[in-house]
Amino acid sequence: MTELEKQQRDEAAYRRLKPSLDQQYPAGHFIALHDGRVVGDASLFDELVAKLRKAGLDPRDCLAVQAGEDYPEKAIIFC
Amino acid sequence: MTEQRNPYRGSPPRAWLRVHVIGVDGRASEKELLVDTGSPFTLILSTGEMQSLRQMTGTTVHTNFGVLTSGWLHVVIPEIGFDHHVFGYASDEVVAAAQSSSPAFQGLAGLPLLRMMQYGGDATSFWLRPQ
Repeated sequence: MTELEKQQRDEAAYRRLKPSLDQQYPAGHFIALHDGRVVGDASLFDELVAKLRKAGLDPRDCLAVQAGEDYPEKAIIFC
Repeated sequence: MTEQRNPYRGSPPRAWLRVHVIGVDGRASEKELLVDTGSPFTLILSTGEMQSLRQMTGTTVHTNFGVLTSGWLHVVIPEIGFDHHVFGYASDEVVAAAQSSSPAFQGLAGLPLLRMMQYGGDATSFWLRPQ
């Protein structure tokens, strides 16, 4: 599986899980996904990175989102 | 007063700001970004810069410039004490469009970033101040 395919898998998992993640975690809470599942969460970004490293994961290979945030799937750029 | 003030640049003259993006190795990379309050994205860098500077991965978005990937960037503006991890995007096409005004521009700063501070302008320059 390529890096892009792994990212697409994690993003698809996030889109599917978003309603439950927004209910489970307070707004603004950081959540990490890897291999299509949640692998960590923290109230601060640096705290999340530290948790992932402690778990033996490379944070750069993980998708991070914030609970309650809407990440658009479509947008127009005017510049 | 604590601020970052930049004379308009390019043809036609455009507002811009300067940020430091901190890589995973802790090294700061200075970027000069065209300001576009109409952009719905915090900031947009080239795909190469995003690949080397992102701390974590983000989602993708379909736009009129194609599909943009994203990542979490550690952005610092020393003059105003700004230091945050922000969700940025990558597009070589958007960077090329910004560079049509001035080749010095290395990306685009949008409204979500500007809303994290005070910003404004006058006849000669664009400024940033702490929130």
